[in-house]
Amino acid sequence: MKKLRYLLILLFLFPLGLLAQQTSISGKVIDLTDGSALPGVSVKIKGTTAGAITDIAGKFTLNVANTNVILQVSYLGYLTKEVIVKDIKGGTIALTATNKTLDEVVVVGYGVQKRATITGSVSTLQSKEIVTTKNESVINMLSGKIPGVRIVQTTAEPGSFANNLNIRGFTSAPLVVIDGVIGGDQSTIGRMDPNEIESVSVLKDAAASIYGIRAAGGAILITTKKGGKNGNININYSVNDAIQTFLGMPQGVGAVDYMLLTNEKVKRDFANNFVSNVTPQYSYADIKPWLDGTYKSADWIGMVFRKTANQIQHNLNIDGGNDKISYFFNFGYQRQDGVFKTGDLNYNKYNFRSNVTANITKGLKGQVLTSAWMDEKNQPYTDEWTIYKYTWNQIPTHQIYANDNPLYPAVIDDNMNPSIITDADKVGSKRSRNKSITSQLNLTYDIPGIKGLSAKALFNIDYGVNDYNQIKKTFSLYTYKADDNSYIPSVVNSPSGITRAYYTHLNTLSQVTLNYAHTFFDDHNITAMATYEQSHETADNFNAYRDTEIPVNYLFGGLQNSNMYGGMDANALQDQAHRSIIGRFNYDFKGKYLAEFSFRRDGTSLYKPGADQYGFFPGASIGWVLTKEDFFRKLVSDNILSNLKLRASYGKVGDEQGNAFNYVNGYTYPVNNYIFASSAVNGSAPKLGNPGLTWPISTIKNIAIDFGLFGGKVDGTIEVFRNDRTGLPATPSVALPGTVGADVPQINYNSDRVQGLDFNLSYRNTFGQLGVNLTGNIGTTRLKNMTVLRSNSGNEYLNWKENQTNRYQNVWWGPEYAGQFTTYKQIYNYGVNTGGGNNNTIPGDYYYKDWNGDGVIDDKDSHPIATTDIPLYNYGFTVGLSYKGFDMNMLLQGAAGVYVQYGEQFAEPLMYGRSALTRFLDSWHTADPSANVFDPNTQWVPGYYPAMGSPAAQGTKAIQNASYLRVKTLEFGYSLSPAVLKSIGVRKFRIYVNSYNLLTFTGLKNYDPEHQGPNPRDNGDFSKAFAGYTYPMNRTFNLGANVSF
Amino acid sequence: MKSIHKFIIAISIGVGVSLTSCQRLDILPTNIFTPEIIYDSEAGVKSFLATIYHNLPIEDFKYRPDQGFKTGGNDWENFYNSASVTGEEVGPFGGMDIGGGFGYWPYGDIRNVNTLIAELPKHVAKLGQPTVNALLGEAHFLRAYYYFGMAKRYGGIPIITVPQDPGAPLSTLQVHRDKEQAVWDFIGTELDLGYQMMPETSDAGRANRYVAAALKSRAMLYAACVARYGSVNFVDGPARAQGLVGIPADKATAYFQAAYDAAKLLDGHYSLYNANSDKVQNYVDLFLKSTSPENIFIKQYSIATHTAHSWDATMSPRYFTANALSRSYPTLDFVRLWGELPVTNGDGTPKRFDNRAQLMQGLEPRLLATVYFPGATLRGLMFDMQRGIYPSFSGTAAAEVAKQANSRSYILAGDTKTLYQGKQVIGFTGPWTGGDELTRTGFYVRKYVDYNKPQSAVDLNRSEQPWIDLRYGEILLNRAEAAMELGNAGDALTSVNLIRSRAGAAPYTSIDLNKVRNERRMELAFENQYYWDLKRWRTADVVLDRAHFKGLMPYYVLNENKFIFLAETELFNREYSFQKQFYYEGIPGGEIGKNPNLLPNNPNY
Repeated sequence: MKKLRYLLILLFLFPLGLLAQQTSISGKVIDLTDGSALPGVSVKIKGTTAGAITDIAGKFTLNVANTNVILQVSYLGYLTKEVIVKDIKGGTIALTATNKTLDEVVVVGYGVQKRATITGSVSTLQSKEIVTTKNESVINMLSGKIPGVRIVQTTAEPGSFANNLNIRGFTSAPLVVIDGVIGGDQSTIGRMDPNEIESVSVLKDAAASIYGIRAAGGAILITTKKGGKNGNININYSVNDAIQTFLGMPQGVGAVDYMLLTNEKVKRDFANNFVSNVTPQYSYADIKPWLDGTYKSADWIGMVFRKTANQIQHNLNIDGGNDKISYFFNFGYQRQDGVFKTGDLNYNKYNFRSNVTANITKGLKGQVLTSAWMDEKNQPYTDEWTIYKYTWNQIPTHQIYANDNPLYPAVIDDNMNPSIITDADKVGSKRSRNKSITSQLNLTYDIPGIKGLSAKALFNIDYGVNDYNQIKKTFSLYTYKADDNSYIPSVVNSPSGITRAYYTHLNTLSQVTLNYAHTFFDDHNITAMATYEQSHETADNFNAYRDTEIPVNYLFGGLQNSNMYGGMDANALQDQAHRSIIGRFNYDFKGKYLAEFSFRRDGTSLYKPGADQYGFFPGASIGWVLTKEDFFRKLVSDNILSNLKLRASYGKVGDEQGNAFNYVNGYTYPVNNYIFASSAVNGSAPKLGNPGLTWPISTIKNIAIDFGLFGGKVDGTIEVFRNDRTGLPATPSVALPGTVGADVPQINYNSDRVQGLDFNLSYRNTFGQLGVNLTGNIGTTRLKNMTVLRSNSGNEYLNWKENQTNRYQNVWWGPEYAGQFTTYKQIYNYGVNTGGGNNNTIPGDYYYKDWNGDGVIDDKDSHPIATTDIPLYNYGFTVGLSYKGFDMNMLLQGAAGVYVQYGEQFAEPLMYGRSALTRFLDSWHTADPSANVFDPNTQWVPGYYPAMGSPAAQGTKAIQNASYLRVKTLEFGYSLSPAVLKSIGVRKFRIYVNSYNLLTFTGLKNYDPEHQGPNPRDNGDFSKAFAGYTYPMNRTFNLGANVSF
Repeated sequence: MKSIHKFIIAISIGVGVSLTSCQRLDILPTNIFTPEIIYDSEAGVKSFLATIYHNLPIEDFKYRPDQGFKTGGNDWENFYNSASVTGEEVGPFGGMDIGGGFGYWPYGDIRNVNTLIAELPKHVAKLGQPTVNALLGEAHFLRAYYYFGMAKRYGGIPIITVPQDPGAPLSTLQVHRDKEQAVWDFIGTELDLGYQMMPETSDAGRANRYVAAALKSRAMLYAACVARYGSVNFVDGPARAQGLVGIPADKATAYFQAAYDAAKLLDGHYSLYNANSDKVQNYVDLFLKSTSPENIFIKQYSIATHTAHSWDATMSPRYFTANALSRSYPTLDFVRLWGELPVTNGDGTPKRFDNRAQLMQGLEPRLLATVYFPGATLRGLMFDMQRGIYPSFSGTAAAEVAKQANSRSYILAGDTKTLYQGKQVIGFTGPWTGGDELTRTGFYVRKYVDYNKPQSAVDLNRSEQPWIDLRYGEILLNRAEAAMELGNAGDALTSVNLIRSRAGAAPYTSIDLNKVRNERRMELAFENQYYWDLKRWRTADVVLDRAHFKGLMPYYVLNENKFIFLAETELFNREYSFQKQFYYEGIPGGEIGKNPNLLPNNPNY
C-alpha cells in the first residue's frame, strides 16, 4: 500500500518539475553512526510540499530550483536535519540518531518506560547486539554484554544449557519473565532462538520489587519481536554453520612413558624403598616390546574423541504488518554434534513462534503470542563423567581389544572399555526429548471518555513435557587366554532393560491491568498502573522400568518379572499458586525531577494459609536530570555534557525459599522403604512444622549516575548497590542438643549482604564512512554473611575458622605454597617439618609456608587464600566497526579474581593405579631411572611437577588463579550493496565469518579457565563438578549468511 | 459501534469469569500425612516402623566402620568392612582403621521410637489393645537396638525415653550422660519388655520375642566383658571416675548370667541349618537360604527398591563377575585359626602339589565354605591364583621368603597375557600388585557369595541375599562364652560341639575360654562380630600392635610342573595399630559444642 502511495506522490510531483527551471539532484541518506543506508527517509524542500522518499539503498532524486534550496531531511528516530543543497558533500547526508539511549523505550516490569526518565537500575540489550555472538545457547550470547550480569559457561555439552548465571552476585537465581509472563530459568532463555528476541532487560535493584516475593535475584525480562507496521513484509533467512573444536582436552601418555612413570612412582614409596630399591614394576624386558614396536600403545583418547564436530543453525522468519495487523513468524532449527567419535552424543532443537497483533477496532488491540520448541538430546547409556574419566586415565599398555583382535573388546577395569561405552549401538542410549508450548492472549482497550486510561487483560498457558527413554544393552568383553589362544567372554550390563520417564508441567497465569498516563499543566507527567495477577504452577511425572531379552526398545517388550517397577519422583510433583496485586506510580516534572513508587502485595501457597501467605514489597526511586537545569546548563555546555542524571532507589523483594510446607505438622511419606516379609513398605517420618516461617526479605539500595558526553557520543553509568537479606531460613538443630533428636523446622534467622559496583561506558561515532562503536562494562561484587545461627565452636581457634558471622563468603582455605625443594641439602637444612619429619621428602616436592610459625606444616597452617565460586570481577568490551559494506565486531570478555582447583588425575598422575596425562611428563625425575630417590647422591632432572608419587599440590599451589581474558566473539561481515541486490529482488544480503572463544589469555596452565573443578561450595558432592571429568568447552568457527527479501 | 460494544462486553465477561474463579492459595501438601493416617491402621504404623527399621544400626554388608550405616541405592563399596580393619581380611585403604568412628548419634531415630511409644496408647480404640501391646513391645526392642549401637561405642550416654519439646529451655535440653552401667541395664530392661510383649513369630525382617532375647544375649555379653576386662585394661580419666565409661568388675557375673539366660530362651525355637549332608555345601547355603531355621533376625534387599547390596561383586574378582571391584581379601593369619596349612615339608622345603586344588584336601568344610582357596571353582571357573613362576626352586620356604625381592629367582608379570615358556605367569584371579582388584593374599571370601547367580548378573548393586543379623549359631556361641565365663564348662562344650559338628569339624572333648573364642572367630568370620569381640575382650591393643598380616602365594615351579605355596607378607603390606583409648569412641565434638553437659569426654579425647 505504502509503496503505491509513494509512487502516486512521485507521479504527482513529476509534472510539477516540468513547470519550472529545475536542477536534478540526487543523494544518499545514511546513518551517521554506522554509515548504513536509510530507506524511506523523507527529503523535503523547505517551504514547499515537494520532496522525495529515499529508496531501499537510501538514495533519492529530486528536482530543485537552485542549489541554495534548503532540504529538510526527517526520519523517525533521527534528528531532523536541514541542509543547503550546495553544502551536501559527496552526495551524502548523514543523519544523527536522536540520542538513542535516552529515546529508547525500555521494557520494565509490567510496562515500558523511556530511558530518559528511568530511575531504577535497568540494563538492556537489543536484538542486534545479541546475535553478534554465535553460540548454541542465548545465555552465552549475552555473556560480557550486560553490566552486572555474571555468566559462567560450565560446559559446551550439546543440549545441556548449563550456565552459572546471576545478577550482581545475588545468591538467588534471577526471575525470568518472557513477554510479561513469569516462568522458567536461565535454560529457558538459553533454548530460545536468538532471532526471536527483540530485547533483554535486566532489573537489578528496586526496579525488581514489582516482582515481589520471587525477585530476590533480580529479574531478566525478554521481549520477543512483534512485527512492523510500515506495510513491508520482510522475509529473513539466516544460516550459521559452525565447526567446533574443543578446549583443554587432556592427552594421556604412551605405554613406555606410563611404565617409566609407574616405576618412578613405585620407587618413590618410602616404606618399601628405604634403604634399597625394590624391583621396578616394569623391567626392561617388559618395556622392550613397546619400545621396539612389537606392541602398540592403545590410543584411548584418539579412539573416543574427535577433533572437530559440526553445528548448524537455520532460521527463517517473516515479519510485517500495517496499521491493522502486524505479525512475526519464526522458525529455527539447530543441531549440535558432540565430542564423541561415535556421533552418539548430539542435540537437535526446533523453535517456533507466531506473534500476531491485531487492532480489532478503534481502541481495542488483541495479541496472540505463541511459542513452541522441541528438542532431543541423545547420548550413550554410560554416565558421561565416567567416559571422560576412563578414557583420560586408561592405561596405554592395556589393550582395546583382547589380543588386539577387533572382534573381542577387552575386559577393562569397571568394564569401562571406551571402545564400547560411547557407542549407543553397543552399550545403549539415553534420549531426552522436551516439548514445550507457551501461548498468551492479551487484549488492550483504551477506555473511552478518560484520555490516557487503558485496560489490559492477559491469559497465558505454559505446557511442557519431558520424555526420557533409557535403553541399557548387554554386551560382552573378553579376556584372552594366551596359553590356549582362546577368548573368555564376560557379559556386562546384564540384564538389558528399558527405563521410561515422563515429566509434565502446566502453568497458567492471568492478569488484568489498568494503565493511566497523562500530562497535567504541560509539565507534570504522570503514569500509573495497577494489576491483579494470579498464577498456578503444576507438575507431575512417572517412570517405569522393565528388563528386556529381545531387542525391543519399548516397555511392552519388557519382561514382567520382579525387576519391573514403576514409580514417580515425588520431588518433581508440584502444585503451587501465587496471587498478587501490583501497582506503580511515576511522576516527573519536565523530565527533570523523576520519581517512581511501585509495590506488590504477593501471596504464595508455600506458606501457612491465611495472612501469613501475603507480603508487601514496595520499591521507590527518584532521579534528577541535572542537565535539564538552567543553572547547570550555564556551567557546562551541552556539547560536552549532554546528559547527567543522578538517581537512587530503595526497595524490598522477597526470596521464596525455605522448605515448602514448613508450617505443616505431620508425617512425610514416603521417605524410604524397608522390606518386611517379602514386600517393601514405604516409610514415613514425623515432621514438625513452624507455622511462623516466612520468606527472607532483601532490601536493595542502589545509587547511580548516568551521563552522556559530547552530544551522545559517549554514554556511561556508574552504579553502586547493596542488598541486605534478612530472615534467611536457618535450622535451629545446628544449635540444639542432638539428644532432642527432632528434625526441627526452619526459622527465619540468618542474614547476609551483597554489595558491589557496576560500570559501563560506550562510545559511538563515525569518521567519514567508518562507524565506530565501543562498549565496555565491568562489575564487582562480594557476598558477606551477617548473622549465622550456629553452635559454639570447641575453642577460639575453631571459632576463628568456623564462625561465619559478619564474614565475607566464598573463601578458600588452604596452606600457602612456598616453593619446590631442589636439593637434598635444602631439605636437610629446612627447619620446618613438612609432615612426617621430612625423611620422606625428596627434591621436587612442594613445601608450604609455616603460616602459624609452629615449626610444622599441618592443617593449622590453613588460612584464607582465595575466593571460590564465580569471579570477583567480570568485564566485557565490545568493538564494533563498519566501513561501507564491511563490518567487524569483537567481544572481549573476561573475569578476574577467580580461582579453580582440579582433582583426581588432573592433580595426581597415576591415581588409582591408572595412567597419567602428558603434562606430568614435565616432572622431577632422577637422571638415572634406577637411582634411589632417597639417596642424597642421586642426580635429579628438574621439572614443573614433583616426582611421581610425591604428595599432590595443596593450597595456593593447587588452587590456581583462573583469571582470563577471552576473545569471546570475533566477527567479520560483508553486506552486498542494496543496489546490486535490488535487481535480484533481495533486500539485504550479508555474509560473515565468526569465531566463538577464539583466543584465551590466562595464567592457568593446562586447563580451560571456565572448565569447572571441585569447589568448597560443592560440600564434597562429587556430582557437582565430577572432579573435572566433564564435557570440554568449545571454540567454534562459524560461517553464515543473512538474507532478507 | 454496537458490534464493538458486544465484543467488549464479551471480553469483559470472559476476563471477569477467569479472574473471579480465584486461584486458591491454601494448597495442601500431597506427601505429608496427618497422625491419624499413621496411627489408625496397622499399615500406617508399619510405614512408620519401616523408617525405624530402615535406620536400625544393623552392621550389614554395607556397613563401614569409619562411615557408618549405608542405606542408599549405590552404597556398593562393601569391601570397606570391619573384617578388613581387624586382620580377618586386608584391604588397601590407609586411614580407615579400627580406631576411628563416625560420630554415631541416632537420637533422631530414638525420638521416632519415643514418639511411637507415646502415641500408640492413644490409638487403642482403632488398633485394639493386643496390637498396641505387640507394637509397644516391638518399639522397646527397637529402642534397645539403637541404645546398644551407642553403648558399645561410647559407654554411658544420655537415656532419653520421651520426645522432648525442642522449644523447651535450652538448660533442660542440655542433658547429662548416664552411667555406662545404667545404659546397659536400660537396654536389658527394654529387651525384657520386648520379650514379654511381642508375639512368638513375625514376618521376616521384623522382630518377635526371641529376636529380643537373642539381642539381649549379645548385649549382655558385651556389658559383662566391659565389666570383667574393661576393669583390667583401660585408660583412666574423669569419665571413668564418674562411671560414664566402665562397669565395676563385680557386676560381670550378673551380666554373663543375663546373657546366658537370654540365649537359653531360644532353646527349641531355632536350630542350626543342617539341610544338606555335604558339609561344605550346607555351610555355604546357610547364608543364602532366607527360610533357614537358624535365621532369627534378617535384613532384606531388593534391586527393584534400590536397596540391593554388592557383596558378590565386591568379594569376587572381575573374572567371575560381570563387573567387580574386589578390594579386601582374607588373610593367611585368619585361615591359620584352623591350624597350619600343610604347605611345608618337615625339612622346611615347600611341599609340591600337582595342582592348586590339592591344598584343600582334608581341610575343614567350614573353612572351605568361608574362604575360596586356590583351585576352588565358582560359576564354572577356577580360582587360578598364581603369584608367578619359578623356573626352578630349591631350598626352604623360609629362606626364599626372607630374600630381598630383587634377589628372588621368580618370574612375575604385569598382566595375564604375559607368558613364560608358554605358561601364563600370573593367574586371572591374581595375586597381582598392578591394581587393587585382585587378591593380595591368595584368598577370596566365600561366605555369603551367591554361587547360583549367573556371572552376567553379578554386578554392583545387584545382590539380594539377606543379611543375617542374628542367627542361632551366634546365640549358641554367646551362650557358650557366657557359660565358660560363669564356670559352666559343660554347657559351653555342648554348645561349641553343636557348632563344630555342623561345621564338619572334630568335636572337642574338653573346652577352655580360648577355644570358645576361637570357635566364635571361625564361625562368625566376616559377620562384623570380630571387630566388637576384639573391643569387648580388650585384646585389640595386643592383637593389632603394628600388626602386619600374611598371605599365601601360589607359585608354579616350571621344571617340576608342580605348585608350591609360600607364606609371605600380604602384598598391600598394610600396618594395623590400635590404641587403648579406642575401646571407647569420643563423644562427637559437634554434640559437645551444642551441649557442654556431655563432658567429661571419654579418656584421651
